[in-house]
Amino acid sequence: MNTMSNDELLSAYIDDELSTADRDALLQRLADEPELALRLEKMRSADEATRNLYAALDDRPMPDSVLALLADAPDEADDGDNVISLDDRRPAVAGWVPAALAAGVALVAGFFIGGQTGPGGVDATDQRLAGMIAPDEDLALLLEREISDRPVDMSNGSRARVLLTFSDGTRYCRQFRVDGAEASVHGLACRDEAGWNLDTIAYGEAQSGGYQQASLAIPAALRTAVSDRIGSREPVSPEEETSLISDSWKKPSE
Amino acid sequence: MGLTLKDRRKELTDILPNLRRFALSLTGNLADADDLLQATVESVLERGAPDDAELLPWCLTICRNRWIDELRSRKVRQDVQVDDSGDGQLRSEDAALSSVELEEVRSTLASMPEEQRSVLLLVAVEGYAYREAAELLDVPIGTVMSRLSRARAALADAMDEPE
Repeated sequence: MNTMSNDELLSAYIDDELSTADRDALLQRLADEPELALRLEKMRSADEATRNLYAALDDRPMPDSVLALLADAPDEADDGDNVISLDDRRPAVAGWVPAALAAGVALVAGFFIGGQTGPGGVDATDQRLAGMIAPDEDLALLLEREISDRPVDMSNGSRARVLLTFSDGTRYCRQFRVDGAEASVHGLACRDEAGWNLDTIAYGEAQSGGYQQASLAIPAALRTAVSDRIGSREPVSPEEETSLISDSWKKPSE
Repeated sequence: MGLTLKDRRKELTDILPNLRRFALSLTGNLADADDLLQATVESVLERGAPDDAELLPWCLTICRNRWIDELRSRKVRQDVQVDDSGDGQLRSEDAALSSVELEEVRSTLASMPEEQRSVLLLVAVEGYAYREAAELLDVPIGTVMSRLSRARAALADAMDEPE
């Protein structure tokens, strides 16, 4: 015995989701009750009309802006100019970072890369600190305390959020983005005992309008950097992330 | 878990129509559906997708989350609700149903609660089983069953109305 209404029975029958017993009982009723059979036909017609309406949608061309997102995902080769890779085994970045890029990054992200930004680019005279984000900077606070996907307004007016948290086997790393008025920065930072170190940043173009910030896809070199470090591991779950934040980022155990 | 979507861009392009239908089932109007589709594709390109996950279910979930985000932010901004005046809705030239019946169905669909409309799409249009639809929408199977029957009941009632 079930307590389904007529409509529920008919609906489940259309979808072939009734038990054999229920279906057989319904078939018998459909033979005996013309109004029930008529209701079934109305429901089937309604399904058909619904399918036709959605098919009309399929006939419309896809929005250009959506196709552009998929066409424009940049190739590895195109990103060379827009990437700073701050591996702490390398010397300071000064001298080969385009000044405008460094300045743009600093303006958008509101942080110093281990030293002063100057006219020639970024100076990081202490190799050990190259890539280290000062702990009191907005970005360091974001990485230290915020869960993924929660946008935070930075003190320089830009908006930042963490996109992903994962372990690279020895450290926790977080992928983030910062959107300023004219530029977006995508980055990857990893945490050691001293704090967060900037591993890779890539510079994107300005966001456009719409009810949600539209932007280019994550620059390929950043995706590669993340992919190289995460390997085959899963990113951390939201629950784990919350724990890590409240435990001040104890080292991964693997 | 791989995060590069370069190889999966083709796959993503192929499932755009499915995503767009689902987006329309959530929004009830075309303009919002286009915006939601855009936001979904951006999210998927940003977050990537696990190598071992089926792309379409993954994307449908992201689509639903983006719509939830949007509704939440509209509530905060207290945006005026989209008016169901018929503009920005779909039309169809189906000979089997009279145009009046089709119009009844269209306007009933547009004003239907989104939770009913999205289940109707997943099951009656996309062909998902109840269990699959329940997983995609993160609700119990019984909820799928009752929302679906209410959706069909509303449409059947609308088609009963005198012309």
